[in-house]
Amino acid sequence: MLAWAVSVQAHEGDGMVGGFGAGFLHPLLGLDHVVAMVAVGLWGAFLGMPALWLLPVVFPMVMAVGGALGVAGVPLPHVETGIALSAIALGGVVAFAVRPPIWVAAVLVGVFAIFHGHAHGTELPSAANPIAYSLGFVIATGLLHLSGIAFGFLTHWRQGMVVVRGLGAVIAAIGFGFLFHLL
Amino acid sequence: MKTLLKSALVAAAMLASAGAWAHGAAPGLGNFVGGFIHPLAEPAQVVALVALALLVGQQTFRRAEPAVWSLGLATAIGVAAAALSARWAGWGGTDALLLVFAGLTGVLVAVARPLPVPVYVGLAFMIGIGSGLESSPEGLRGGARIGFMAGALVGTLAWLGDAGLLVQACHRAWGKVVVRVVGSWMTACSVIVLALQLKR
Repeated sequence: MLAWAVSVQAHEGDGMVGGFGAGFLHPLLGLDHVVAMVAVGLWGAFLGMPALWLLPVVFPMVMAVGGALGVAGVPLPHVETGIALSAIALGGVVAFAVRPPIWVAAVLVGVFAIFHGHAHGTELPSAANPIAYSLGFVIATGLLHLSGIAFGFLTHWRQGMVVVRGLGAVIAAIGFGFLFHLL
Repeated sequence: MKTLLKSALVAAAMLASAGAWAHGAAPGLGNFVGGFIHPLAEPAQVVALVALALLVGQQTFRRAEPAVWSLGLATAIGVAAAALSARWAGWGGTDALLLVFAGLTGVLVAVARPLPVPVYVGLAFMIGIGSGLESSPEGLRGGARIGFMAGALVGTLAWLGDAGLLVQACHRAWGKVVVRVVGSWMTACSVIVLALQLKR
C-alpha cells in the first residue's frame, strides 16, 4: 500500500496511477463497504481452512460479475439495501459464531458481493483509466479482507474470540445504521 | 517472516520504481530502458503479467521453465509483428486479448490445482503475444524503435521472473493463500474491464 501511495504522489491525478488511486480509495471511503469487507475476512479466519482462502477468492470474482452488470447498465434493485444487509448478515454470523457448511458461506458471501460490485461498476465508466481504477478498487477490497483475516486470527485466544465476536456485532450494528438511514 | 519481509521489500521497490521511471526520471538511459519499464506502464499488461507470474510461481522451477520460454518466444513474435506491420501495431484488441487470458490465469491461480504443462505454456504464449503487440512505441523509428522493443522483450521476461520468484518464496500456508487471493483479484479486474470494453 505504501509503495503504491508513493507512485500516486509522483503523478498527477490522471492516467494509470491517478485511476488506480481513485479506484483504490473508492471502497475505503464508504463505511458500509469497509465493514462488510472486513466481516468477510473475519468470518473466513473464524471458520478456518478452506474458508480462509475461499471467501476472499469468491468475493472479488463474484463482485466482478456484479461490477460487469453495473457497467452494462443492468439495473439491480435495492443495491444500497443489499450492501447494508451484507454488513448485518456478515457481522451477525461472526457475532453469533455461525459455522455453516462451506458452500453456504460461499453462496452467502457471493450473493452480497454482487451488490458491492454493482455499486462499484456503475461508477467505473466515468473513471479516467478504467483498468487502473478497477485494479485499485479490487486490491483495496482484497486488502480489507486481509485486514479482517488478520483481526480474525485473534480467535486463537479465548479473549480474542470475544473481541472478534464483539467486532462482528459492531459491524452488524453499523449495517442496521445504514439500513435505517441513521448513518 | 524474513522471507515475507524480503518479498515485500522487493515488491515495494518494483512498484515504487515503476512510478519514477514512468516520469522519465532516468534521462540518458535511452530507448532500451524505456522499453524495459514499458510492461509496468500498461495496465492490461501489468494485470496479465502478474497473473502469469502467480501461476508460474505456483509451479516448481522445472515445470515453470517451459512457460517462461513460451512467453519469451511469443513476446518476440508479437514485437516482430508490431514492428513489421502497422496493422498489428495499431490493433485495438490487444488489451482485450491480455485481459481474457489474465482472467483465465487468475482463475487457475485461485483454484491452485496441478495443471498439465501445455495449459500454462499456452496461457504464457497468448499473454506474450499480447505483451509483444502492446510494445510498439509511437513516434520512434529505426534503431530507437528496435532498442525500445528489445527492452520491452527483456523487460517482460525480467518482470515475470522477478514476480514469479517472489511467489515461489511464499512457502508458508498463508503465503499460498495470499497468492490465490491475488489471483482472484486479477480475474476480477479483467472481467470488469472487459465488460466495459464490450459496452463501448
